[in-house]
Amino acid sequence: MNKKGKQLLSELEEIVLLALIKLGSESYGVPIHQTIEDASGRFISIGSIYAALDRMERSGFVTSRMGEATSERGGRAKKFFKVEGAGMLALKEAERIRRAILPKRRLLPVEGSVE
Amino acid sequence: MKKKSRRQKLNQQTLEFNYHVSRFSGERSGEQAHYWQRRELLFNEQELLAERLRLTIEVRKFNDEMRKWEFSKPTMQALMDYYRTHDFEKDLCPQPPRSAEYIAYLFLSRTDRETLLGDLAEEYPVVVARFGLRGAKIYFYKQVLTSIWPLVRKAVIKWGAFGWVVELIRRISS
Repeated sequence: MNKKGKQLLSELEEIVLLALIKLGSESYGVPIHQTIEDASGRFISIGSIYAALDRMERSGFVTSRMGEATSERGGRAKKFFKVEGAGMLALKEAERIRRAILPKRRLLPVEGSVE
Repeated sequence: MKKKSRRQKLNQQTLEFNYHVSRFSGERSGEQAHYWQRRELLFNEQELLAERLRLTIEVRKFNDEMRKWEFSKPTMQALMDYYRTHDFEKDLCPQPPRSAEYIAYLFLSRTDRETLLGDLAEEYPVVVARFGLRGAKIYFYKQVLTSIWPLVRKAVIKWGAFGWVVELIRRISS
């Protein structure tokens, strides 16, 4: 495992990475924001998502490309993101650490979960 | 030449006015197509039908009101000028608050600003449809103000505090 894979992810970075995996190729600001807000039920600023994505881009976990400008966005371009191998490794590492600390994962039951 | 009666004059003016209004509506229909496409995505069919019906009734009421009045030539001219020059598209498609955009312009780099404001502009009509214009404005301001700090912190880490302050002064003075 390379050094990048060993880097620990923050809670928001982990959630954003999971949202990117869920959305696939159509991962840009609005759907990422909506996915995270729907899942968490909390207000999250788009700026904090972009800051997390920028940190992960510098770490090599994700890559970005600029899309075309559209009229519904006031002539502004979309920025698409994609999870790279290092990002997947970082997610696996976070999961491995969780399992190492709590092997049987006996956490408090979450509302709506099937135990 | 036979002199026109008051009724004939009134009918002629009404016809002329309706012609200009319809011509104006015809010119605007193309521009409004994009607006309706967006609204159709936001509203369900029943709500859309209700809104169209309401607009139709408003137009009919307006036309009925016009027929009651006999306008003098300058008044007619002023009314027609208003309908020609007024930006109805702006009334129908609400625009995000300019001052919030300016705040983003002051504090954020070009790339951050474009992506953030683009996303907020894309969300704006949806928020307007759900919470009204006032609620949407508050949401827009809240998003911009809470987004500034994470993005500024990112820029400060990248460029250093001094570099960011120099950039900020350059933006404010330009």
